[in-house]
Amino acid sequence: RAEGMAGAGAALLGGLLARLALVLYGLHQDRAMRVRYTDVDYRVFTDAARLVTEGRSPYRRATYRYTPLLAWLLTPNVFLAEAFGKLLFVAGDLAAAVVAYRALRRRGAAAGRACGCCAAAWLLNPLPMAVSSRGNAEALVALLVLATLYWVQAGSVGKAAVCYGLAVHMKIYPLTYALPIALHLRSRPGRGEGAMDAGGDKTAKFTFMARLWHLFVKMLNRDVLLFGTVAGSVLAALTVAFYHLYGWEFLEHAYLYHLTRRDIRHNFSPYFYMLYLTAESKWSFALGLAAFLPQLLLLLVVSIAFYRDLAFNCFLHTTIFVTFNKVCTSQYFVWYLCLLPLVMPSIKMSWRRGVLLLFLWFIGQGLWLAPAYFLEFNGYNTFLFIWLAGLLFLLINSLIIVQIISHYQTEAQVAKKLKQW
Amino acid sequence: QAVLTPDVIDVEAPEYLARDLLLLLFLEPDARCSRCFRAAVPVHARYHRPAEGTEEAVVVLQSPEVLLCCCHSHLSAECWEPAEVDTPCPSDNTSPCQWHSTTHRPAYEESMLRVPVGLREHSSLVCALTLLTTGLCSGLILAAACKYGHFS
Repeated sequence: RAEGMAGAGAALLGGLLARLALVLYGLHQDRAMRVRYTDVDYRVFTDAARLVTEGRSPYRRATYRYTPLLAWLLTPNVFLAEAFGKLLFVAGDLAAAVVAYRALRRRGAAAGRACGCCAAAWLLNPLPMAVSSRGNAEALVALLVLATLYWVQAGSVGKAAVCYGLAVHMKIYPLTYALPIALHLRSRPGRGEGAMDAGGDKTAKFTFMARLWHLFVKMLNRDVLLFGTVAGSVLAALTVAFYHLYGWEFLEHAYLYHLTRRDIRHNFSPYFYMLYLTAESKWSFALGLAAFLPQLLLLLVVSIAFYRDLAFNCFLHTTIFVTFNKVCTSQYFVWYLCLLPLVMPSIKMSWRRGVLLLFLWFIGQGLWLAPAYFLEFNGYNTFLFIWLAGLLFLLINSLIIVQIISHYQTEAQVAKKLKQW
Repeated sequence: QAVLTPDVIDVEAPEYLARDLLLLLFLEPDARCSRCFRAAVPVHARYHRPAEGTEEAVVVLQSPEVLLCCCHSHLSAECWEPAEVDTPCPSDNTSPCQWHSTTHRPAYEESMLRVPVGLREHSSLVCALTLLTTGLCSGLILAAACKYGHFS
């Protein structure tokens, strides 16, 4: 046990030192080079926090499209030092790693294995490091999402619902977890087990549609209702309170913008060039819908196929959501990377295959970033290259998802194997 | 010091939905040369409409107008003439100061910014190939989910 703690401590320390080093390097690059290290969003947060300290609405700052809580949390940026926010996000990163570790231990993973997964996929992964040290607030949402999954697994539906309500308030995407969580809560052993599971030998007689119907009708048990009520109340309370403080601006920027967002500027999404070229044509709406339908269908099918393992379900959910979204920036990858430590033990893949897939993923990004750099900073017309790179990245991501699904083993098999360690 | 009019700008809007900007730069004389004034302005282009037949959109940046302020201790010969422009003072944004426009010879008559844009001719190919690829990828993932998922 002492060894496990030492290992965890070392991993945390390593993650902390690496992130601090990046924050310091960021301070240097901001001063010295033309391309700034700190993300534009961080400037927006700081300016909004300054407005809050002056007693005004953070939405006076253009492009501030987040919860007022973030501006409030970052007010020490104004009083103490501008790097406070980055340090807060680094702390959020580390806290997320701790929650992931404890969730893994709860699922039955051995200490060494859990520590290794957290370290490899999150603490020592350059992408979350870069995202937090550049000043993006994704770490806070990742922490809330991991906490929600941890509490659901531990059986504290109320606490999970509070974390979930907060997470949805901060970013809209956790809303998609409602279906996996509901399906998981209704199917937990010993709780609300419906005739679904009892009629094992009758399943062959039921048609697929009948089974689907049964699944959704049996959805509403006590846990699901409790979760829904508490999460809904937290979200409603926050919304009402901030609407009272900041008015319509808050609703427009914090919520509505994200739901109707159409960004035609270049990003990782495969749909970017198509939406840019057709932005003003009569097909714009139809194409937007055509882009939304695969995402929706995949999310539904995947939720139903893998509802038994909540962490894996949510991981697949987020990966598919981000990959098929109309807008995709590198911050979004943190949304599913935070869940990767939880699912790593369940994916039985050889080291070579895993490393190859990871390598392909980075190559895909690199092939996109190169023409994008030439477009944005040197003014070359590289739109076709960016578009093709986006399609390639989509193919690579889909391949990785398919590989993960095909190498996934159920919890029961995994728990049995892990106990043999 | 710089003042932008209007002060609330949608920085993400494409060019055809954006409004004109007026930028006022208040300059102090250079430390080494009392009659020299220096300023450097970074320019970031917006997204323009996709074009037909050409890969670039051209934006003309007109030469800036140089105004001399007749305020406080900065008086010069031009100030004896009647004031032409009413613009806020550099230190105090409420009361207007007197500004005189000076004649000057610009180094370039106008600067041209070439902004890369998408090509409309690509529309059909891009839409078709994009939707085909996303369809293919969704199909692959659906097949995997149906094969390995537990639907009971």
